[in-house]
Amino acid sequence: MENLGIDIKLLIAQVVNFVLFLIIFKKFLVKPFARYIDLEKQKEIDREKALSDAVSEKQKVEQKTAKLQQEVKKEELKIIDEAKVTAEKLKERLVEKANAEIEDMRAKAKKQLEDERSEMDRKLQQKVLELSLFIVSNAMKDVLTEDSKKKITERLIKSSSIKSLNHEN
Amino acid sequence: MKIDPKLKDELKQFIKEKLRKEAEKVRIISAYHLNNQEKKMLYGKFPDLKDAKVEETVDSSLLAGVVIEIGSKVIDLSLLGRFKRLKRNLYELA
Repeated sequence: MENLGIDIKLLIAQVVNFVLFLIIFKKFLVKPFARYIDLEKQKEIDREKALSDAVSEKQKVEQKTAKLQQEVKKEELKIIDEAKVTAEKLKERLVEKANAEIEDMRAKAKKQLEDERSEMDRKLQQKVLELSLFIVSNAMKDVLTEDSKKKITERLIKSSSIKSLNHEN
Repeated sequence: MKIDPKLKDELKQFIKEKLRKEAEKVRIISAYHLNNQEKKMLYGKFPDLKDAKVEETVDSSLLAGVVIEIGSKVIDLSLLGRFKRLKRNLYELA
């Protein structure tokens, strides 16, 4: 053994050293280290869990948001439809009202036109009458002789229904 | 201004008298000068004219007949008056 360069005492001392080192290492380093590793593992697990929770929460929120958006859109469409219907009804009512007003105005205008026409006819008749009487009375001035005037005067006086000067004709 | 009551009474009397005279005044307007026969016929129709103070006037626009004015009253027996009444009646009909 000495020829190979192996010192038994040294070897034994090294083995003992190694064993001691192992014992000390195991007692004072491995456990805390293992505990530390476990702790880290646990932390890692917790982080993973928190991450997955957060992801699932995010998904839930996204789903909820999408659902809400859909509802909002549905509601929007519903409101738009209702507004369209209301606007349509309002438009119909306004058109009806406008038509009624137009009819009313037409009727009034027609009546006014008829009244004006009647008035014009009446005035025309009166003018014709006035003119006719004017022509007749002027013609009479030229046509009536003294004799005819006397005869007419006599007839007018005799035909008068007035009996006394206290009564008027 | 205070007016003397005596003066006030006299004024009243004067105005009454004047109105009475005006009321009594009779005016005959004819289309031409009436002859005696026609006047007789007129007085025969209206005997009241005999007692009244009559003023005669000629207005050829009457065409024929007479108009008698007694104060504010008017009795229209003229041809022109007839035409006017005819015009009024026709107006009412129109």
